[in-house]
Amino acid sequence: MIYRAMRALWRAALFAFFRRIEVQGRGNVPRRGPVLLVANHTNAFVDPLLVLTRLERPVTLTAKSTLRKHPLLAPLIRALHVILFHRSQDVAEGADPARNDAALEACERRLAEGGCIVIFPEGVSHSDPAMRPFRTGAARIALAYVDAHPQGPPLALVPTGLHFEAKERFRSSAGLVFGEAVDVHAWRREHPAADPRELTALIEAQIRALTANYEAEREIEIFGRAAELLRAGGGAPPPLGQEPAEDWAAHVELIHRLQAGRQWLARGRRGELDALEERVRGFARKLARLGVTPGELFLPMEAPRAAFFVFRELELLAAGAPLSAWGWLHSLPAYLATKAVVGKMSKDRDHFASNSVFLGIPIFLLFWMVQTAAVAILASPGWAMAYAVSLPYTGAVALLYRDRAGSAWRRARTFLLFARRPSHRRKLVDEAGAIVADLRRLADEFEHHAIPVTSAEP
Amino acid sequence: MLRAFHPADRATLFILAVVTVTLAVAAASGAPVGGSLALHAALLGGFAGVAWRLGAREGAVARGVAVIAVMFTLYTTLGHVAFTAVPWLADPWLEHADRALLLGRSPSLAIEPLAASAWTRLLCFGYAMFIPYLYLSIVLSLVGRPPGERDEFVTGFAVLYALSFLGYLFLPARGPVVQMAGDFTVPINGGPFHQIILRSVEQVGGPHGAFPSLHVGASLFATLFDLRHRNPLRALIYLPLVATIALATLVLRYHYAVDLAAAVILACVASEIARVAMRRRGETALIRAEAAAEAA
Repeated sequence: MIYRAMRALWRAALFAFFRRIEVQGRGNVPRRGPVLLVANHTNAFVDPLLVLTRLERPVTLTAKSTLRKHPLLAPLIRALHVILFHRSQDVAEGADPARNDAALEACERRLAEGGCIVIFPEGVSHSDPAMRPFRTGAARIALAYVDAHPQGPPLALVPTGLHFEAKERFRSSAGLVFGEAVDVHAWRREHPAADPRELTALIEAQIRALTANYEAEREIEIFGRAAELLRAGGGAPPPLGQEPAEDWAAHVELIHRLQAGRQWLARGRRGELDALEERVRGFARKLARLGVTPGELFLPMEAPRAAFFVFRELELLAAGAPLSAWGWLHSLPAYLATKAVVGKMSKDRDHFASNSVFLGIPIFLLFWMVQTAAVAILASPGWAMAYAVSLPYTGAVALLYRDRAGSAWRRARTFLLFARRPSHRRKLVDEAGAIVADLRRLADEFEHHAIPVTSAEP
Repeated sequence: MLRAFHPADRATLFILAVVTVTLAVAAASGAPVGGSLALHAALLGGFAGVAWRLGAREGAVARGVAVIAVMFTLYTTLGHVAFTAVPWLADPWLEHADRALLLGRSPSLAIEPLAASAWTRLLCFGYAMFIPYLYLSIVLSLVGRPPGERDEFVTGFAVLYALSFLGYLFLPARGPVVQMAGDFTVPINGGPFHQIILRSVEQVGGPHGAFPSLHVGASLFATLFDLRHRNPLRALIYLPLVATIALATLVLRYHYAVDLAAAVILACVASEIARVAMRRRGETALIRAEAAAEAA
């Protein structure tokens, strides 16, 4: 009951923070039986919540023991039976690594009951460009269960890749990719003498395959820009509201191939690589100055399509304006309060989304309750009830309206910009086409087949 | 042979065939429906020709236009002829079912006091907005969506209307406004929009086709479609309008509560049938493409 209520609240909070959350490979998570989900850890509390809210089956969370002392989290940890691990780096804060045996036993019991546990083998959330070395905890849990229950239901170990477009940005995108499950019983039979480090290496390799990892921060930008250009690839952007689901798995695959290609180029053709990277960076800077995304570069410029765009967006924005205005007006105090508190408490990129989600729930509930009470006093309990119902509903409309109006405005501005300066657009399209052609040519040279992009040729 | 037709065409041909056969049986029994029989037989023949020409082609806007034109024509032609073609009236049964819903009390009478309030003007406005909302949804779905989604919309629309017309045909009813006219004591305070509604109802020959409520069914279907196809904003924006239309149909006495319940069920069923039909078509196309590739 508490789990379901909290899950619904967190789902709502994640809906408010993220513009889109895409899930891939959900079928890889068995609906029944023991499951150990292992994931990368880059967005603090948001990571377990993303997993928990996207799966129908109940998920047991694991966390560091020091969270017991957090005034907001302590009651939740108790209510949701979160399994706490004592990390060696938290000894100064009262952690006792000797008590981890009890935590491991609790995990084993939960798995024996057919439960699903999520664990983050990096042991700490971070903002590094690549995953940190894995600890052996997840593998120890899995092997302890398998050794204790050799004839028990097979344990599925599901590698999970968590992705964030820009984790510190409100209304950005997130994604979960569930990889193919490892049957730990079968693995154990094939590796009877293996120790947890071998299973850890396997888990790490699998999660690495599901995530984009970079040698340095600056690589994120260059690979991101190149991937954006390749994805845009000359095809018209989809109409607003009809964007296909973000294919995070394909994005990661593309990044991996770009990284492999870059390494190959860096070995013998450094000059060519530097020149190409500079072209990609320079082009990205040009687009940024104009406020245009690579996809919008290929915006259709025909008048009938533009007229239909205006018709469709005006219909939606005009019809939605009253509800959206109501939503903004009545959720603005709570929004501003959350923003102020989160701004003050978030010392790093890593905790902004978590603080927004965790603190946003009580702040919004508090403000909405006070506002509803005021309506009950000033009007009547009936009106107060109607008002209370309207708050989350119009709040959701306001958020979606904000996204849509912003996208429509950007697209309209791009259209007008290119309509005024068609030659400028042609030059940019040609430049993008040349970069994409060079990337494809190099990919051909590298692998003797093209980088798989789904869109049309420029 | 039927597989050669698109699911939307099949649903449309099905209802046209049912109507034509029913009218033929009625005409043979001596009912004066000869003109209607000729009209519906012509519609059946004409649409069969269009459907044959379009074949199973994906995403044809012409199909959407043809299906919707046939359904809107049936809306006006079918309602009244059903009272002549079928030798029973469903109003007493629907009223009875309605009272059973509210443990013996009629929902239409229970909600009657609302008709005198100023809120009824707002309800009338919502009711009048049904046509603009439906037409906008149709245009946006036919023109602004990719072919697969366009087909799904047209299929769902055809299934919803075809199933609803079965109710119009075999359960002909005029609604509480006629059936329970003597029971209502409170006049409707609907304002200018109520006058517009009354005039438009008169233009289609007075109340008919009470079961199920296509106002509720069609508006809910359009909202569900937006919700399922990456347009939750539009669905959320128009959700209050759908609720207003549903309440208005009761307060303005055009529908029984069971009509609304049936409409909600039919909208969900049509939505699901369209989704499944399109998925199967996609799978079949994929299998055929793979087979062709293998053969090549």
